[in-house]
Amino acid sequence: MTSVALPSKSLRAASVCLVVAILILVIAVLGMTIGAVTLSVGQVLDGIAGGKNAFIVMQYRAPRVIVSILAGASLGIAGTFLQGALRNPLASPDVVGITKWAGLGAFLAGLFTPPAWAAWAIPSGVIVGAVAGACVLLAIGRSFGGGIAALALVGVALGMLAQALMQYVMVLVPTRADQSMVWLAGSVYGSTMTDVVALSLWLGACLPFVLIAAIRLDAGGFGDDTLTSLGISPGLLRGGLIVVSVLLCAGSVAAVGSMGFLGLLSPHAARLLVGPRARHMVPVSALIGALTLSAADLIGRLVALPNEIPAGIVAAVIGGPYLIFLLIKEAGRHD
Amino acid sequence: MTAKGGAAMRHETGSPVLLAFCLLLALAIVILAGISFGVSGLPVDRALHLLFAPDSSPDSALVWDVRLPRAMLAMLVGANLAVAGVLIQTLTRNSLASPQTFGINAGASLVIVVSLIAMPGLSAGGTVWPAFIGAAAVGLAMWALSVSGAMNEMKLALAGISIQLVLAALVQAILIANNAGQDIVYWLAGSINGAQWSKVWIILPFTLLGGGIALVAGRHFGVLALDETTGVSLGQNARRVGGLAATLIVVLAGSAVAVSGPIGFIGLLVPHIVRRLTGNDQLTVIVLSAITGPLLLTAADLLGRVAAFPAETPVGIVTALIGAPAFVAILWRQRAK
Repeated sequence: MTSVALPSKSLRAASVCLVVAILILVIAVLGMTIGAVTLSVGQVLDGIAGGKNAFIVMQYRAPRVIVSILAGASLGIAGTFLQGALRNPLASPDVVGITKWAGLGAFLAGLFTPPAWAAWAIPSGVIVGAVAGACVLLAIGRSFGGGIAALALVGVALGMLAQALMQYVMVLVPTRADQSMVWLAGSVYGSTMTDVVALSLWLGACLPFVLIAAIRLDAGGFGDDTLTSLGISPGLLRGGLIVVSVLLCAGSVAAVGSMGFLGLLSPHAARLLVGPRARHMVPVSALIGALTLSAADLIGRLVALPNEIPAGIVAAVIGGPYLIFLLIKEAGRHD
Repeated sequence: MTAKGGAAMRHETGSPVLLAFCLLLALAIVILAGISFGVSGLPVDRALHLLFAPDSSPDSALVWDVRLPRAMLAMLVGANLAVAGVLIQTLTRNSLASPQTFGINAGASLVIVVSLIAMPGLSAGGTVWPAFIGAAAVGLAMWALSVSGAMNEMKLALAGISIQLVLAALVQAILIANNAGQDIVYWLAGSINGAQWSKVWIILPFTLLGGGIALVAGRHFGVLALDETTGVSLGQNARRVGGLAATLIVVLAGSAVAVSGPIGFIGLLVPHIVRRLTGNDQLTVIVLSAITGPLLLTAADLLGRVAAFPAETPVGIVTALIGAPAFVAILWRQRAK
């Protein structure tokens, strides 16, 4: 990377952001042009302006591309905050099963409320599910004394439980099985402009909290005594980071289902690229999350034509080996 | 949580023979209940009668062609997974090890699915060899991670579960890419629904052979549980026993996945339950696991049939619902030590 020679870390972070943003743009353009009907860039631009391909571009491809970018970014930030709050490099919302609980909440909410309520019932279900999952994890995790791998394993097991519960409900109510399959695998397929608007509003509402949390995130690395001496309540700081993380995660699950491994991958990649400072890391991990999810969606659309592989499956195939690599790399260190 | 001392004390209490008898009795009751229960329910005495004196009635066909093969399959798969679980926990000295948590079930599944798609005419019996290949490949990878000694118990289990997630995702991707979902999806959840005698005959020789060797060699497996220095002084022997155990794990778990899909948690839980009941003697643990595995899996299958009646819950979902919290409980006890 050319910016290595530059003296300022901020400059380096800025250039990394720029490079990743350009990559996202490239993927987005590819995502808009490739499909059952291949369009040229000119035709896409024409479609955005309201030309003859407007229907394909605005109804199908644009929502999908935008949702994958927004959801990927929020998962990336969610992972950064949760890892920072728990001081655990393995504790991203997807590894520890919070996304699975959010998916279960959405599914149950959709099941037990009339279809007309779906617009607000499903998001509420997602939040309740995510919060419940996080609370159970923290309650159990606390009594484990904070071992890194132990907490992650408990989370994985709780995620398996949520998944089995969802599969069980699918057996009970087979008519809803299609819907729940999407929650299970995680997919951007079928995103609409409504999803784009809903997710944007949600992320917009979260933004102030994200900014506050990002400013405080660096402090999360300090021990509790240091925090107290700085006049920061450790419980409040970590609790706040976790809450913001869970909210971001809930928003993305409502849009794309239980997307795995993005929250794990992005912060690590960001730390490798720009170092551990929050004001560099948070934007970079958001961008990397967005890049990964939109790339995963694009790969899923191309790799098995004419069929589509859900982005969640592609993300798992990329992210799983990365987790194992992390475990091996971390192995030498104390638990 | 009981005191640590309490758990240790309890280890020496139960008489293995008495325990085995009680477990067998429970197994017989669950099997009989499984044969009686269903969309077309049979009174228990009628089911019992038909078991010993089959006639040409539809009820008899139901018992002999549908419910009995199912019970037999559940027993054999349960026994295979449980004994494989004991061996893998002993071999790796990792109490979180099992064919599922070390990704061995998923490895077998992946190679089975690939071969089913590459060779559409492959018979059910033909899936056993692909299953062995997949199980062995993942087993080798986990063994390499395990002997490198770089990871602690929990990280190793986490790595295994990651392998499992990746392989399961690959299987899903392959199924979607080939439009082959419908037939295989149900199998993937882990199910013994639709069991036929043919599947029983497929797994039976491997259960008898693998289980038989495990019993005969049972006393020697104790050598694997010894600490490093003692193990080294027994040198060659320990290595040979380890190789044997690894082969048995592949054969037992692979053949189970070939007939029933990747059913989780049985191989993890059963050895823990049995050790709690009877202590650490290898041979006793193997024998009692070979009874407890079938008991747990037939009971889970019965539960899956009752829970959403008349719909059937694949048994793999039931074992996950029971197994996931139990797994957390095992972790908890690990921490407490």
